[in-house]
Amino acid sequence: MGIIEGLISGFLQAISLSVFPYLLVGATFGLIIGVIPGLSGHFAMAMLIPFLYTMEPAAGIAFLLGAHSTVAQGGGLTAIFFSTPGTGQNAATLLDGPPMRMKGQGALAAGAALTSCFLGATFGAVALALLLPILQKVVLFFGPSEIFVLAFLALTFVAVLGKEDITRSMIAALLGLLLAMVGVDNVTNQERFTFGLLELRDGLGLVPVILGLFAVAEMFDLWVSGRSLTGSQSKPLSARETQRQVFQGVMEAFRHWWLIVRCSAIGTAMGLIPGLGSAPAAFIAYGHAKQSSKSKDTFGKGNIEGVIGSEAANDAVEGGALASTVAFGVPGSSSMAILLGALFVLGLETGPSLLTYHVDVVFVMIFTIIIGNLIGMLGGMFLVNPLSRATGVRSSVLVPVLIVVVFTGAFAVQSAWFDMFIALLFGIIGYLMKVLDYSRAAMLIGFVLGFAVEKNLYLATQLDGPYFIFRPIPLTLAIITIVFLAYNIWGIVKHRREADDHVG
Amino acid sequence: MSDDPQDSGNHDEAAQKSVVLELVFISFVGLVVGGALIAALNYDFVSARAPLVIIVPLLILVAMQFNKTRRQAEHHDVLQQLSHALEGRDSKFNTVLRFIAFMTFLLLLIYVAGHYVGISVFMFVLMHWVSRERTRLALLVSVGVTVLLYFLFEHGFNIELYRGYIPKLLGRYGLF
Repeated sequence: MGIIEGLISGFLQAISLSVFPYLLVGATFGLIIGVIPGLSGHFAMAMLIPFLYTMEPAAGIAFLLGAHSTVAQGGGLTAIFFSTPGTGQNAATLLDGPPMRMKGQGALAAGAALTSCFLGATFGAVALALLLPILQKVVLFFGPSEIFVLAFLALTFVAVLGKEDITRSMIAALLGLLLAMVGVDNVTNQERFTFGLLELRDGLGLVPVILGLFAVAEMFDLWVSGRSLTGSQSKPLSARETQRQVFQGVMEAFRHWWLIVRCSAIGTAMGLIPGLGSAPAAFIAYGHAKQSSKSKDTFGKGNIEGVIGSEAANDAVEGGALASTVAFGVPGSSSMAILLGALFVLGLETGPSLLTYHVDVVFVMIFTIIIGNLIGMLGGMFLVNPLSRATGVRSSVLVPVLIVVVFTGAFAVQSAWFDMFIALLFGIIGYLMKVLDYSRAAMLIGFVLGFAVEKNLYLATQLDGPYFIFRPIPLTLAIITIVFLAYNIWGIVKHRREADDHVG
Repeated sequence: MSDDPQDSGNHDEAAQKSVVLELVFISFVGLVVGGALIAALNYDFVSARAPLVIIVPLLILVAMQFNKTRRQAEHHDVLQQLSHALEGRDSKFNTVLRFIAFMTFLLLLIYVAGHYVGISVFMFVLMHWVSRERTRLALLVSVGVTVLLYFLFEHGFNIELYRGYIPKLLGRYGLF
């Protein structure tokens, strides 16, 4: 299928009656989850995975990516109105959003944030579409040997660039890889790490592991902290004043179109690097917005450019992040790892076949991101006040309901009680990892990549012999991995020595 | 950093708990990975190859992290902290254990009485008895969510949720 054909087919599928309703429901769900502090984009995606089994690929992708697209928009509203980022990626919005609210310009910031998110996401999605012809050619050079080494490179990036400690993240990534080995070995038919349990012969289910690590663990956190979802709530503006400010905010975002383009470019470029995520992209974009502004002094005191820059960048990341996921099957973040799992569930394989024969599916993703963000923007604009009430739901009511939904979802995938137990087990592990600062994203990416790593290692040794690593691309990727890791470890050792000297 | 001595005391206590918890966690991970190494050594070469490639560096990293955490723990009385938690005198640890117990209770209830009875009883107990929410609200939410999930899964997705051991048993005698 050609690019133009795929583009038209993807667009028609995205707006068709068999797909659009799922996109609408997913986007609305994402917006609500984004508004609720403590529930992240991974949570929204994890919650939706069990429902994908009954869906067509296009509908499933629209449902999942629709939710993922709007989470950041909802999170931005919470950051502005309640000084609590709805999701981690909205942390940079806290710098100027709440000061604007205190000046009575909360809805103005909200309108600008929603529009910047939409424009940033559109920029990222268009960038992905423009990258497609290049990716189609590059991906042909990637066989089993290349994918095997690329998976390790991605894991190294995730472990090193994540916000957690490197050793802990490497442990988490390798544990994830090891967990993927549970079950019957496809080559020798030997059972590995199953403890004789019939339920483990097919390996650990992807869905219960995702639900446990990201959904049950969040419930633990909410319940144990015992906090209400937001602190003190500010008095909402009148409906008329809110609408007036929201539309003014939309106009402000369009007025700063050049800032949006620059910050979106930063976000998209950072999305291409596995492990960086949207939060650092938003902070770098914020820094750029401040540096290039004529009114630097007002940053941090309620400057709308600060809100626009960070919100545009954190949504533009997705376009870049999708590129490595769909082209090489190597996810750069936990959200992309969940998406990759969802593609397996929907029966789609990433790599050359997806980019060559199912390019329409990639365009469904692109249009889903754009339309999903448009829905989020419009929904957010008209529902600022009602949405803000979602943060008023007490955790004592929310947690039991969400736990029940999560466990029902875990069961429904294979109609197996055992899967609920796995979700609970990984919920406990996920909570401990969160508390102790071990990267859950690295573990999940390791787990998702584990299947590919083993399969490609086997194929590489069969096709290219035991010295496959010395082929040009694998060797280059291996050198990059080693140099990158060594450089970062050297940096840590140097930093420690300096700290010791300082104390001494 | 806070200048308040009480704040600083709380911070130290939290850091101490975190170190002890990590020591327990990393020891457990080490034991599991060590067990996996022993198991992998008994597999065919082809089946053992990938796990061994992962386990060896993993064990080295676990040992490094254990060593680092143990050095941090030298300043704390680990055994005292552990006995403090195990005797039920650590409120956060108790809350975590209680929450695990509630979820285990949910799974067992589903296994015995079926999905719908299990989830509705679980929600009601957690909301009304544990969190002291009003009876009417707890009842309304637990029944409402159960009905919603019934229609969503059984009719929307055509997925039959688990009917439970008792209904299955009664079904055998033609009673249900």
